[in-house]
Amino acid sequence: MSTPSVSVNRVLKLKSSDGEIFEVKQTVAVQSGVLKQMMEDGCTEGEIPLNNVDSPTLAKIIEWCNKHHDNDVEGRVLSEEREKEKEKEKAADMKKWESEFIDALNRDEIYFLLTGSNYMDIKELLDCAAQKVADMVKGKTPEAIREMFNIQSDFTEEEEEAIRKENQWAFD
Amino acid sequence: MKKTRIQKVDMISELPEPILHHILSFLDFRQAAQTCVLSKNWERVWLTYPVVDIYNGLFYFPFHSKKEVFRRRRLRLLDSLEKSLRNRHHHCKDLVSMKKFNMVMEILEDQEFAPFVDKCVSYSIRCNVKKLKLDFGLDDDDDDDSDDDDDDNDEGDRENRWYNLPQMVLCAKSLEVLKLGKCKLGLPIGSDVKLSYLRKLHLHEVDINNHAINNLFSGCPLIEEMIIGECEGFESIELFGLSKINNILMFDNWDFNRLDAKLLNVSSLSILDKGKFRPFDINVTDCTNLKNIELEGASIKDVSLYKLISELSLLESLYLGSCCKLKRVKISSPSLKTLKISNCYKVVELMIDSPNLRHFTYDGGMISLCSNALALSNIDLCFKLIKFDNQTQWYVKLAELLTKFHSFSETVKLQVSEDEDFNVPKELRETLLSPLFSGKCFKLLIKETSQTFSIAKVVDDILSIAPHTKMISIEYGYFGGWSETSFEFSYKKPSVYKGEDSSCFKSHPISCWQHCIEELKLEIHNTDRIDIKGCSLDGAEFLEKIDGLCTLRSMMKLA
Repeated sequence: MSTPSVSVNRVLKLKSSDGEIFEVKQTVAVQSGVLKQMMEDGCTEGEIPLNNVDSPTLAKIIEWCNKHHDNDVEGRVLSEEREKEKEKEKAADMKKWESEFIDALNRDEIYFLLTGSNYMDIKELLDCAAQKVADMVKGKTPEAIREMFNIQSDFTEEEEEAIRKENQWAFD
Repeated sequence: MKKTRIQKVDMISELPEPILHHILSFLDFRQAAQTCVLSKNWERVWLTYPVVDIYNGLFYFPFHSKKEVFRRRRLRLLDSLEKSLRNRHHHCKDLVSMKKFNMVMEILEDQEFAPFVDKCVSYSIRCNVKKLKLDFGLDDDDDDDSDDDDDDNDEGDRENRWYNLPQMVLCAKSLEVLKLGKCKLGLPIGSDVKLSYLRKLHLHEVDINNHAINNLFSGCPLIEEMIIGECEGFESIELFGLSKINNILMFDNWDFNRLDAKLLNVSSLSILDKGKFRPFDINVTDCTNLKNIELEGASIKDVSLYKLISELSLLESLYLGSCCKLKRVKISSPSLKTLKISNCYKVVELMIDSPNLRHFTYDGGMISLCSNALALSNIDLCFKLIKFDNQTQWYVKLAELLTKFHSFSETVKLQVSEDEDFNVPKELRETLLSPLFSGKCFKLLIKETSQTFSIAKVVDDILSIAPHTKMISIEYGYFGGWSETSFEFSYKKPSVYKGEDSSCFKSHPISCWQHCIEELKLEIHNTDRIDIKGCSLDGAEFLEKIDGLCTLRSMMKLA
């Protein structure tokens, strides 16, 4: 995971859109594709402005990254079978942590997390948040989805009818 | 986070399009499509959604499983789907690159259905699709319960149901991944394959002849991975000069009988073809980057195997299965870490010159072995034994073999088909030295147990082979179920054998286990009702008790 230019103790200073500074270890920051690229290019001196991410969201993102980093480090001198078992346990624990993490957020927070993780290119977090939204949509009728997300339809009745007809296979 | 943000705003629709596409990708394709009526914004998101995923389950009624009803419904819906795709293309010219187009369906005997598929496929190629999957066999990872109502299905016809792949697919420059199942892939003489950017090719149950398959490969200069399984129509494959190829897996291709390969960069080559009568020939040269080879059903002989392996300085893992021309196998490879030999039933002798070998698995008849593999940490041995007339001779051979593994550090696993096959003759215990005296874990797998099966006897036998072992685990089948019993021993300080007691087993150079056992922990896993039960026993008298403890009845009582 680490690249030659990354050292364990070095810290990056991330500046959120509302001006707050967050310190993150380089070894943690590599989970973000954008930051990783910056480190490889050697342009991480000073504060790194993240104009699309506000401070509450950035705090959440860093919490996620720290958790997923911790999980990687532990030394291993176990037998192969034990190792597999341990791995499984760990994966299950992580899944549980992830779902608790995401369930604790309200809808708006999830949207900010989606844009933030997309902007910073953190695939696992983006997947987790997108899955959460998809789960909310799953099995609901278009009407129910509109109500749930406060989506205002800007179709006339005729227009909507036409679209349903055009995609009849999906509504039949 | 601040809870003051206002809930009543439609924030989801404000998300950038790629994120909304990402969310749709976690939904069933039908439901993803339904979002198009939410609002004009969502309609646009749907129209630019770069994924199409068509599968049998899209066309099922919840309460109708009649084949004829299903068929008509599917045709009607396919028609509608194809029209809406065409519409989509018409509406939205900026969908220049489609990420993924999947069509996974079982072909009933419908000829009517092919034109729809043709149209869908050509649509996907016009959209510059990158990943194309067309599978018309029964698909395993389709988790619908869609394939259990074929009572009026005539099996004979099924084999003839292929989808004729349109030529245009073989010239689709945008393709990076192509997966085909139950397709017929023909290539008229004179036409070429131009899959300039293809990285992955999977063919499963594809009908393709020699000419087509070899042209296919030469038309994919950037290919990295190929998987070809259960295909028919081609006999030989020549692979030359594909500079990017890394992984090759071929399995159970009905007519296949020869592979010639000269591929500098390939790192993994697996040809698994055991189910056939005729072994295949293999001629691999200059594949100097090979790290992993698996051959099952190859006609390779001792000398050419030795030569092949010696040329591969990076080889880490080798598997030889059902290679029935091998007799005296000699392997010399300093880099080899894992070796597995299975069902090569003519092998009588094994010479391993691989000082870094860590895992060794052997499954077959009894052999004589010569090895300098000192780094072994894991050994699996599985001897197929037709009931041996001479149990004594068998044990002598086994002991001889195990002695060679005395330096192993972790586990020896031994597998026999019946409990009666595992038997250490009484008279030998007193005369023969124990072959394994430094073991940490000994596992025994008995496929079938007889009426007279006794765990105590097996444990006793194991301890005479591997005294002072810390773990014994016995897995055995009975009445169609499985049970696993494991024993964890702790010993008093191992004293040196002094020959004090004549009734002791001779387990030179350390003293008899019976006199050193301090405590035993017992754990029983059962496939039926009771999962785990544990208990611990003191001293050497445990043998008398285990049989009773291990039977199902007494466990139920305890539970």
